[in-house]
Amino acid sequence: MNTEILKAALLGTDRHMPEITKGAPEVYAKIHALPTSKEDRFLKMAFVSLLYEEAGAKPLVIDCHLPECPPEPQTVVTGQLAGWVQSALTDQNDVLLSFLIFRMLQRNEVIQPQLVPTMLDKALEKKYDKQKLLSICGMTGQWLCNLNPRWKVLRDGTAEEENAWETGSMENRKAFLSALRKTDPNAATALLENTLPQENANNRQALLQLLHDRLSLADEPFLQKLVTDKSQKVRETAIGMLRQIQGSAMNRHHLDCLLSMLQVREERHLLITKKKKVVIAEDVTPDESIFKTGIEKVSTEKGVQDHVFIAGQLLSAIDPALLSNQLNISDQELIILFLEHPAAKALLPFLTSAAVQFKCKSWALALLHRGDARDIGLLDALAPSERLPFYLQFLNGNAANLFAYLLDDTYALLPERLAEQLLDHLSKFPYHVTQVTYQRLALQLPVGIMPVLKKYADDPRQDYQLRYFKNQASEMMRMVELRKNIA
Amino acid sequence: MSIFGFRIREIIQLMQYTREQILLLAPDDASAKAGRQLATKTKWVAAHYNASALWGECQGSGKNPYQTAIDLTNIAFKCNCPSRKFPCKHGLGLFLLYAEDRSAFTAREELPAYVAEWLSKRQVRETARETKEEKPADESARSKRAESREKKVSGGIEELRAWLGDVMRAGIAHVPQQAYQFHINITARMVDAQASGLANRLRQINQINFYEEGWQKQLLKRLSAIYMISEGYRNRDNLPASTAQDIATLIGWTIPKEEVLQTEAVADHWIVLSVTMSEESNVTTERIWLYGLGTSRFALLLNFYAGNQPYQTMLVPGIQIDADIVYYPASVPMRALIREQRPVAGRAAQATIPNSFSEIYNNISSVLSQNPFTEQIPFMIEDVKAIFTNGRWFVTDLEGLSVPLSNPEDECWNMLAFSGGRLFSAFGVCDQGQFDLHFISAARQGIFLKS
Repeated sequence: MNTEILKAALLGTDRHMPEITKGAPEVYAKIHALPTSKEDRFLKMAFVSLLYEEAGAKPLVIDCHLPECPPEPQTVVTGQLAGWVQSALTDQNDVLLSFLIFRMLQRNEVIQPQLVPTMLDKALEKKYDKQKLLSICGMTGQWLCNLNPRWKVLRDGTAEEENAWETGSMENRKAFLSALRKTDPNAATALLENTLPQENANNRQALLQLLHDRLSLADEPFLQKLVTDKSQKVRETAIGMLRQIQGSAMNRHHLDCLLSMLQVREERHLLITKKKKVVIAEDVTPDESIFKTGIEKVSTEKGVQDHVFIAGQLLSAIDPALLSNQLNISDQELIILFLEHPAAKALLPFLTSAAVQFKCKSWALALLHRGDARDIGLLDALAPSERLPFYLQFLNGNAANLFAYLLDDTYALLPERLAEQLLDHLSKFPYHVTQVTYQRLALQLPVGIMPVLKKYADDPRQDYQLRYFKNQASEMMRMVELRKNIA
Repeated sequence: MSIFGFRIREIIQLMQYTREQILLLAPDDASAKAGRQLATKTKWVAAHYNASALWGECQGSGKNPYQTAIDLTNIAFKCNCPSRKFPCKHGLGLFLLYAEDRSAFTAREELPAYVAEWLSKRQVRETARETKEEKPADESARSKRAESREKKVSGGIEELRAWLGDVMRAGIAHVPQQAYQFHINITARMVDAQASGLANRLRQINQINFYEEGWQKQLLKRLSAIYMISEGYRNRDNLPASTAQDIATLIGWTIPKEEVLQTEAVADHWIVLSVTMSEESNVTTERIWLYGLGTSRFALLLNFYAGNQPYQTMLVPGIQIDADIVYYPASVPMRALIREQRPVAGRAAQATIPNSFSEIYNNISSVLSQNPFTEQIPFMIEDVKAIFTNGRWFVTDLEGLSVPLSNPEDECWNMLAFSGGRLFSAFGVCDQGQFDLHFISAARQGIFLKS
């Protein structure tokens, strides 16, 4: 009957009136017999028909069985931690969420099953490590990934990822090449070598720069070819890399040139003692070819003599250990001599660069002890326990850099003294770092810092900067407490 | 049939004012977030509780701390901060702190002056509301008004019938091309004719997805139902009283709350099974489904808020209340009001819940036979599983009988994740043959899908 009714409804009663089918309930005949307009009869029949359908509906029989989710072997988080995970997801608080994920992974715990779909959606976003998120989703996550095609990619990877190099966006391609460089450096070089000629200059340079990671002598032949690239940017990048490869023809050439300019002399000092000093020969003119390998001939720094400038540039790409060995002097002694050189100030950036690049501990220590170091990378040359006395010298220059350096993925607690000094600095310059950094810092503050934070939070002064820091201190207290509660 | 009550009761007791429930009281996400940030003892200069209230002092940006109090008997908030939001972040923060870290509070029998004063004022207001007497009505004016409205409604309904006749004569095939305009004039006419119920039904045509197959049936169902309501109105004198009352309500006659509150109440231990909000034309409709553990009856509390009007009820899914509830008169009474709410006294109760969709369908048939215009029919069922095939979601009972789900896809995935593909119990609403689940429970835990 419904089909007839729907046909009439669509066409209009002027064109079609439903026929009462054989065996239809008596009510239709009764309605049909009413002495009213056909629209009245039609609407009544339609209502009855649809009501019959709804009131007489029967459940369906569907042949479909979903597999059950296997039991969860790991502990499912409950209580406060579960609440925080939910809040972090709701508020899109990435700082807190990352910390909670870290903690759950540490404790071998998984989130409540009902949060898994939201977490899997998060894992589809690029900014999170999908493997970590999948781990905290436990069995439910694995099971749902099998069922939902949207999440299947989290488990299997995507066809897009497989073809990222050929068809992906520039960002995807860069990510692909970086990942390949980490796992198989030679394969990354080979891949780039095959496809580089088809790229434009900007892409060539951007992709080439990714080879800085795990740069080795094996890359020399490829880079050597790029020295004649038609793009100046690419040429410069390739030359820069060749300079850095210890043992490359260019690097050896630079070392030879530097050694011809440098001399360690022993001179009598105060008549009775002898003192070494490093001399940069002014009269040694380097081979002209060196100026075609990224070395500037004329000093671009005011007050710096050309020969010092050239030596500095050469120094920056030579391993201090190798250099000191060639000069028959220890690297500690060598850096002292450089720092005592009359042009030490001009040499500092080059010495720093070499110390950072080759992680030379003695040079890094000597440069850090001066107290005016600018490159925080110097700290990498030291063991973590040795870094503490030097952090503060980076605070005034670029606090954000220091925080980026201190706040690591292991959420290691900062020493209380350092934490106090950082807070003291921030209380004076509260806008040096962002709110996210404050939150992140709080997660690495020791519990013992609470009285200090409380002092700042209770500060009665109403200056706008202080008020801002007061709020941050208060929020940091909450985060410190939160971390304590889920230790 | 099997017993479901003990499970629900245990779940609900676990959920009594949990963190999630408190956050549901927040007027917006920003307040919820700010409330969460204040749920730490370091933010509170003082925090105390006794059997009837919580109160505390929160150090804000001002010189003096804000004084915040919460009435625990019948949840309400009070704070002297300047926020216009209700409840404010301090109220939410204090309540969250109480739910999460009771050690942050000290028990104190004696109430501070500001809390005692507020609680006594609330008590006075409650009493005044209960004893409020109706003003003596001017009977002649009232009957004149009623007569005038009858006249307007009758006129409007005749026009509506003529319009429906025209629509049917021409057919509905062309409607999708002008889906949102074709009923605008007649809807406005119904508003003028003071038939707001019919106007609402006409407006609901906008909810039909005209791009999806099946719109024809949905539209015809709505139009024919409106026609039958008008038919019922014409024949109201020959209808049983309850059906005539249903028709009057459907057309737009309302029964004053005071009158409903005078009717016989149903005292029971009620569980809040779901709270949903929907907004249309700047009016928010709050639907609260309750289930009486003793009487096994459903009740629907409907509240309407215009613009940014603060919510009056502080009921959140999972809360239990001991209350006297009065139903609006109808052939299938469902809409209700709370006459009196008492502090929760936990007690055991068992409810008999079906585990077969055949039984649910029988109940739907029974409800429709009493009131064929019923749109939302609540149900509870046990031992069902969620399944999906060809992009459509279903729940299946132990006999393998399934019903289609109208829940959005994300809710369905949450449901599946929570249940792990195993059996669960559910509360839902059947609307036009589509089943919308609001609450599911399994393994002594539950989730509210609409929260």
